[in-house]
Amino acid sequence: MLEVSNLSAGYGAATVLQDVSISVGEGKIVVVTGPNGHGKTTLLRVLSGLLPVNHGEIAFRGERLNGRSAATIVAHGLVHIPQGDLLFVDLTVEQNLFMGAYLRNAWKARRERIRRVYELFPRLEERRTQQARTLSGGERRMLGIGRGLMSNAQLLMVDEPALGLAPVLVQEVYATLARVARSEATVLLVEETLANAKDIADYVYLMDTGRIVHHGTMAEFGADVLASTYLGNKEG
Amino acid sequence: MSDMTSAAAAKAKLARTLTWSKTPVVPTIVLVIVLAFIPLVWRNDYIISLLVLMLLFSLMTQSWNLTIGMCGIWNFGQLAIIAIGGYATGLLTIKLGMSAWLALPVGVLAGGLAAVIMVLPSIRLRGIYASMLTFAFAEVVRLLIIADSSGFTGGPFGLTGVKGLFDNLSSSWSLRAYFWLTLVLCAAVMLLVHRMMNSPFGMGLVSLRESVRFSIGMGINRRVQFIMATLISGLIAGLAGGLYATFYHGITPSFMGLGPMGLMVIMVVVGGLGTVRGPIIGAFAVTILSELLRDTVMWRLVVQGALLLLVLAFWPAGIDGLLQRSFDKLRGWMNVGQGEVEGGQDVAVAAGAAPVGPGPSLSAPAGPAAQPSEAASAVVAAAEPPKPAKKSGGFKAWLNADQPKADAAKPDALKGDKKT
Amino acid sequence: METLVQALISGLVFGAIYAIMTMGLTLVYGCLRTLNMAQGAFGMVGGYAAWVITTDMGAPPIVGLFVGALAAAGIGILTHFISIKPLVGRKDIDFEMTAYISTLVVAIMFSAAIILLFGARNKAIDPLVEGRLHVFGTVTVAWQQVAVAVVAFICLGGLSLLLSRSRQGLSIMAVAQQFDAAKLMGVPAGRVYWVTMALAGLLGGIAGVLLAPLYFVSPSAGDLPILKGLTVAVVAGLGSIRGTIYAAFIIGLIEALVATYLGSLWSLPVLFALIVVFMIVRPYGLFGKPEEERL
Repeated sequence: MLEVSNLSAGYGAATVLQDVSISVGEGKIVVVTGPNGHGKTTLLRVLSGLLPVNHGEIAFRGERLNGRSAATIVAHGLVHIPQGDLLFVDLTVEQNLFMGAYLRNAWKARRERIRRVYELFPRLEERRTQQARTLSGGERRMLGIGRGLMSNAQLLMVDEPALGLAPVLVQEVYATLARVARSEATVLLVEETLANAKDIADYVYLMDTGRIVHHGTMAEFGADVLASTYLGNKEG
Repeated sequence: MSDMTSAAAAKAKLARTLTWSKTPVVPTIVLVIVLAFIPLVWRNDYIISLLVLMLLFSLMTQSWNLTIGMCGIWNFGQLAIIAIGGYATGLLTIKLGMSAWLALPVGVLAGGLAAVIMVLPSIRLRGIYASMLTFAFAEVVRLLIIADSSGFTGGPFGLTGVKGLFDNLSSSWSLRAYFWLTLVLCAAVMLLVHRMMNSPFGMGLVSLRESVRFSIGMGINRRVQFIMATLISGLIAGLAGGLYATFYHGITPSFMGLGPMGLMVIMVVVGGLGTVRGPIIGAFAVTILSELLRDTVMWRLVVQGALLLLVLAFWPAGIDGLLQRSFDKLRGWMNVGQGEVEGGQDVAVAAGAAPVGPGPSLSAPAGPAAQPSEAASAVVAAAEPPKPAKKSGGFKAWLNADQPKADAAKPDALKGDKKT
Repeated sequence: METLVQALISGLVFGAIYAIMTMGLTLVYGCLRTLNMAQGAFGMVGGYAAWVITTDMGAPPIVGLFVGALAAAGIGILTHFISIKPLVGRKDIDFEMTAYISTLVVAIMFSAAIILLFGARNKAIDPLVEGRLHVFGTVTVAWQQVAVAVVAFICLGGLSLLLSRSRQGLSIMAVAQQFDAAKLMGVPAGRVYWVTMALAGLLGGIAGVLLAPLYFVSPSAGDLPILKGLTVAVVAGLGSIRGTIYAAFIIGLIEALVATYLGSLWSLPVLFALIVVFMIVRPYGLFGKPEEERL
């Protein structure tokens, strides 16, 4: 569904991503993991159009997306749910969700879509007229994901869904993501703590200093692989 | 390596804003003497009076430049300060019959005092709030004078009958006397400003300008220096105002209006902010432009406004910046082969030319951004600081950190798998 | 007692006008992070447009209101394109300060252009409605004042609906609150910007036309409104819509009371004192948020 080939990008003169190649198959849950500050968020930002591409190709469902505007990319169904939620804090839950359906087609269908989001997140429906700033951490995360679902998202890119949440909530979020992946959209996750995604991830990419250094199925990423292969390699 | 270039660049950048390293007292005196011959050879009184006007404007823009250019605070009350100096001088000659020579110093002091009063409340404020405050101050003063029906300040019609400095001379000679006086004063102020900017005092203030967005974090020293700079700026402004009032034998509240304020803004920006020569260049350029457009009075303001918008859009460093860049390019050609230094200079030219534009050089992370990269990098910067190469230490630490969390998330799995 | 009621009524009307006048500033600040110094000029131009249509061309005053509002909206868009858009996204300038100066100069240019077209003299314009309404005792209200209040409330109500329900309105709020997220939802920032400026123009124009019968149509008709608008905005907290409404009425009432009991000459110094006090004590206003200081 999403094919990223030899992507290089960064902030102005500083190149962060170097020769990154990623592939996300339809209906799968793919995780990009690695330490913070090594380019995972940058990757998503390039994919969603917030940052320009220096080199490389981004192909989404056959369409070439590099250099397109953020709005166009969203219109194609590639939706980025940013780190830290970035909610419209003074708007209500419902208004936030509606904003997710800003694009014209989605807007027309917004009432149906919001019903589906409320099915997934009943707590959001309870709080629909509350301002987003009054929500708890877990609820904000739900709102962020729900908002991303409001457009006709085919591929959801979620940046650090576990960020700042207590373990119980992390489980809940991941359970929801699993449900989303089964019914609504393909999911590409950025997750610093791979263990969080252990149960649901199909495929994992390991990113270190802006490069993909290893990738494989979740099974291959057992703890011993990480510990021996990479600890060993980096030792020198 | 990058550190060295940036230090050299920073130093060169500082050098850019301080146009000469030594105060050129002698060349200036020579220049003054040369220019002093103008009114002796030129018969046209109108041109001379125009020159006097330009010199007066130069005094005003230079005074303003002290706060904007050096401190980075756009105090829009400057015209009100100038006017207060003018009104003070004028009122003393009219109401008390004082000689203009005695009234003028009072005007100077009034300007200084008014400036400090105006600026005091805004010391701790962010640039734009400080500007709004000074703008409000100026407007309130102006509107109060307009609304004054008691006849004390002359109301909307202003003061008339202010005594001149050289009333005992014929009008031609009085004109020329004003020319010489303002010429000398203008040059003196220029030297003073140059001195100031090159002193530790001045450099401290310039650093303030570069970080004026963090003005709330100003140390006490900086605040005192800022007040002092404002005081000096006010004194010069008062001087300019007093001279203006005595030269034109009057002053009106429309002097403080948005029109003249806009004109001064244009002069300062077009000339080049924060430099010694900029305000003078601007004053002369804009006045000449006004003269050329003299017959089309109202188009004048539209054209000048358009000029400002163009300058802001394309050459924020103003004419002086353009001159500086051409000068540097020239020097660059002459210094080919200096390698690192030249690189530093080029960086400095690029960096120096630009930040001298309105306000500090720090880009506004809060401003709306057209390009995705700027918005993303500025707004969400906290999430992913662009570090070129993170050490493997980070990677290892991450690996190791992974284990306990894994255990916490999944109580029943792999408990025994501690790091080796 | 009756003096007090008269003053209160005045205050309410002032408040309504200030709310409309300042709302443009608030929207532009919230969305574009710009202190739009041309806001007063929008009203001034609106007044002239209304004058042309009514006094010059004989249309009824209500048409004048519409035409004035639309003309001002157009001026708002123009202002955006010549003085704000060229500055957006640039790294070599301080956007906030530069846009402030830029819009100030544009305001001056509009004044100059108006003088060019219409001459510098004041022009009189008929109010929407003539006559006064007798409330009780010696308390009267000019019907024009009632009309002003009614129009203002309708506008504020309409604006509120627009901003909270419509796609465009929500996108303005979204861009104001969380620029990056808005982009990620496909909101075209460029369009939101000029739409906001058009809206600011519209509101400013309405305020200008409503005020014109009271204060004459003149090239400097925008001076006092921008000063008062700034005062309200500072007290409210830059960018806060709710704050703007509260602050507008508070200041309207204060001004009416000061004018009644101390004389209208005092209202300006009091205004200034208000600005000073707020800047020192609470620079982010009643409803602004400290974290928005953006150091």
